[in-house]
Amino acid sequence: MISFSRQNLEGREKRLERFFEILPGATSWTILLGMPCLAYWKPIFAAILIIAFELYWLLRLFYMTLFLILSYLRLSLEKKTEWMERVEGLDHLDPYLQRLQEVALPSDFKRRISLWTHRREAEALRESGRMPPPSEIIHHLVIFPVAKEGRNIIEPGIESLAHQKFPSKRILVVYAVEERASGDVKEGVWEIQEKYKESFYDVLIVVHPDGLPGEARVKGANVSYAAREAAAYLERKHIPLEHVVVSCFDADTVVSLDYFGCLTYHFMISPDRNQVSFQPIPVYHNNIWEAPGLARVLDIGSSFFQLIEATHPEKLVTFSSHSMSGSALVEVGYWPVDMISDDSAIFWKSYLHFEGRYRVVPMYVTLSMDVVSAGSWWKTIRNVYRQKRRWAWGVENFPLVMRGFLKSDTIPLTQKIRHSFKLFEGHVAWATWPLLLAVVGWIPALFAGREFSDTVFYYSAPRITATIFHLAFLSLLTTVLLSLGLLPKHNVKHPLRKKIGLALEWLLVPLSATFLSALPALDAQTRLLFGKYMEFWVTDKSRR
Amino acid sequence: MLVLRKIVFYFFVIIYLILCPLTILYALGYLFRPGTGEGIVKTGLIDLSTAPPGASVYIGKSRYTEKTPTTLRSLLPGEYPVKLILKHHIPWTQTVPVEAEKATVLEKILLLPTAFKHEELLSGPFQDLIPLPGNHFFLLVQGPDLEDLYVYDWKEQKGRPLLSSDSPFQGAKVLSHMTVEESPALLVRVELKRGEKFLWVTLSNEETVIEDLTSLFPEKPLWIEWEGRDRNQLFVFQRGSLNRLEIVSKAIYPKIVSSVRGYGLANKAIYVLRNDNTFERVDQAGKGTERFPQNPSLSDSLSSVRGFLKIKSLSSDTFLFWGERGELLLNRPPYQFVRSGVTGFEIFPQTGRLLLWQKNRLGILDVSEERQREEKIQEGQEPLWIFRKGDKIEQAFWVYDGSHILFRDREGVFLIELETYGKPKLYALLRVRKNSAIFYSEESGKLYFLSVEGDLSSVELLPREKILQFPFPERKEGKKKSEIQKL
Repeated sequence: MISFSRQNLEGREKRLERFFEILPGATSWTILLGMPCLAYWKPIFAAILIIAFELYWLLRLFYMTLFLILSYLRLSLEKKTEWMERVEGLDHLDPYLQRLQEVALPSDFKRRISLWTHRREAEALRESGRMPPPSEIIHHLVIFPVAKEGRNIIEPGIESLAHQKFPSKRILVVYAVEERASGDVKEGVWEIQEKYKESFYDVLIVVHPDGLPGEARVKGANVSYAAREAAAYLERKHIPLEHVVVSCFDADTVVSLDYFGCLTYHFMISPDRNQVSFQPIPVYHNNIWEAPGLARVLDIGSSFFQLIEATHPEKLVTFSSHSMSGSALVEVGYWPVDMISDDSAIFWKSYLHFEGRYRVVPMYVTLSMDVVSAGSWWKTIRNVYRQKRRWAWGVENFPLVMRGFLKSDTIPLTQKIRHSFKLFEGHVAWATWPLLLAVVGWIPALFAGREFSDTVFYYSAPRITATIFHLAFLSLLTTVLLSLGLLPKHNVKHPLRKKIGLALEWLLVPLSATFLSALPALDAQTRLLFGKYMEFWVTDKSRR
Repeated sequence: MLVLRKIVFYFFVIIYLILCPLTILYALGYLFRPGTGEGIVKTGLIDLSTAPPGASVYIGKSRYTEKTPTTLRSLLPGEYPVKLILKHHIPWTQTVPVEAEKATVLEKILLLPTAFKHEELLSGPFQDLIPLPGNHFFLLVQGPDLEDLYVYDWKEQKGRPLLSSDSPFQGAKVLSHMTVEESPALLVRVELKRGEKFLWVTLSNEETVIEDLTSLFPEKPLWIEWEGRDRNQLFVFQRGSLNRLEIVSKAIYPKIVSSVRGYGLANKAIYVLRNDNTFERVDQAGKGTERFPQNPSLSDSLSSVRGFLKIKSLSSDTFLFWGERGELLLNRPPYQFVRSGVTGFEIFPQTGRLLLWQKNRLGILDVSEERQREEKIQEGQEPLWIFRKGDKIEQAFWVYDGSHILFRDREGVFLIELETYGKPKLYALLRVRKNSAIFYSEESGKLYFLSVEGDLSSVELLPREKILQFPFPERKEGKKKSEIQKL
């Protein structure tokens, strides 16, 4: 079993680690530099490759759009689900299941699908024989890390917890506050504790000391420290961790009313509940109407990406705010304390620890966070870039995962290949595809000498490319429509004009994809390639 | 969902595996023709662009759905009679060959109006027109004196007399003048009651500035040169040496270079051919000599040429030598390519092509480095003579990015189309006043001339505002040159 860290490696492990750190960045740069060189030396061959790639991209876009639509439909059909009713039903599974089987499926299509899915899940649970604990003994531990967020950012999150359909008295809230946080920040947290203490099981404040040995200045170190304290607290209260679901949120996370009901349901319905993470759909609605267009489009894109990923649970990895079994968290040793991408790293750490017998369950319920917004337009763009780069730093998992796979004899080879390919290909595509489409694809035409410019291909290629991009527009249109459907209802001035403006912002996708998605990803991979590990930088969030 | 996903995934894989090769084959010009026994056939295309655009395209008797600019695709190899028809324009016809997997490109087709619309710019009568190449002025001559000259700004479409009414040079008779490409100044030799004078005339939008440089010319020079953008220095060839003259300070720097039999200016340097046929570059003070490698073939060619040679720079390492008897030589193959009679030439810098003319013929020589690399150019190889039936060709211009040539043969003005797979087409455009020059501006696309009555007029050859500009560099021409036949 490997230690899920790049620290204190020696010999072969160190060499392997460096090799796999270099590989994604080297591949991305080889593609980005190799294509122009190929376009210069063999323009026809390069143009053929580009057409083949564009066609692949188009079909993949259609493929993803199809599953985006399906996932969106699933999200919309689960909006009306009474999760707590289902939770209570699971407390008495057999009679409940019988009632489910006897009741006629509703005429409403959405409810029909929802019920059908639920029935299947309940049947699978019964067949597994691994019954859940009674719902009244299931507790939730919610950790909010705080570094420099003010009370106005933090409070909506705990407010949303207080109004859950799930009994808030079985929710333990922990504020994981960095020691280096300012006095104002700490004061804000203290005030919140005072205000909400009675609404929950408890509201704890755990101050994470700076400079603990072996820790980097990362969120994972903070939340792990807090989780340890919380685990000790729960032990004192005689609450077994097998009955605790831990949710690690961001400081600005606001959950929907059904969130914990839905989470409890999924915890109970999953036979392997203590070897599972739960991934909701992140949306960025806290300040979506006020945020700048470029940032908004990117974050909606992230939500869509998660929606698509939710349709592929065998390859799903945790991202951003997520939940998992308390016992699993303790068993795997909490979040990594020296990695920036703690959200995805905890999944890989658990996957390796349980030797492939760990998965992520997608939850069709949303939780909301802030779009990056920092006062001026330029500052916002800079912050968005940094945030995306931090997300792309998830590539740091690749060498750890690969070393883990090489060491493991029990994880099936097909799974290793599938996971490693997805991880590798995903990061390389992130860094290269927008640049290939926006820039590199046009290079053969620029370098065209007489040899190329006298050919039919020289005239056909732009036409084919134009057709491909026109067809891709259909996918963009679908995305625009779905994004409008996903928007929160809000009392804004000129809502129709706002919506039209929001729709038109999607035309910025080529720009944002290139400069605020691909470039940060390339930046992150290049840093990893050269061993320039990133310091954690807390995203500036502000609300008007 | 997993099952659905797998089904959809494999479906898309199959689609891709089918579509991708088909798309690439289509892009390469392959066409699938089931049932004809041919199966997959290789096709070519014809790409047509006209100025002005919007011409109807006919292949034989069939009319194509799109208008120019357009691309005719999926054509089987062979010859296609193409006809382009645009209202009020002369129909354009040509038999165009199509090769498999190749594009036949005709992208600079100029459709000429059936009747040119003459625009009268200035009422004359004028006797002559003096072009100032590279500027937006030219001069109009109404009589023999300096005050009979008019400055016409073709951009602003305004004319004014060269001299102000109180100019001290009123009554000066013009003996000769000299202009240089891109220079807004000209050197005029005039005769006044008190003797001959050399005047430096600088033109601008608002006024004419005239400086008397007579003191800088103690004797009549054999040749004078200056760089277009340099308004302060002249280089004068006299008695086998070069003198540098500074206009502002009225200073003479004599014999900055000696033993000279030819020279030219470019990029603030002087390119000098010595009496011993060594070719050098010196700075404007005559120092910092940098000798070009001695080439026996060039030396031999230069030795056969007598007299003074003007040197023109075509690129940083390619130079043209123009002898007194109209000899033309290059400092690389083919070295001497015209033995005599060249009365003028025009360089088309973008393609490195040289247009030259003698009294009765027009020729083109490709001196680009690309051509040098691709073809082994023989020493003494002659230019391609595209027109041989001239009488007294005095001016010629590149038109429409080098795809056409406009030339004046005595009073006739003609246009030759080079963009052709057959015989180059010759169009007679108009007649101008006897012994008057013409001026063509590629920038405006207009030809400026004096009508037979002596009025300044213009016709639009190239409808500039209707021609689309594309961001990609122009494709390099080459294929059609070998098929140009002589007229």
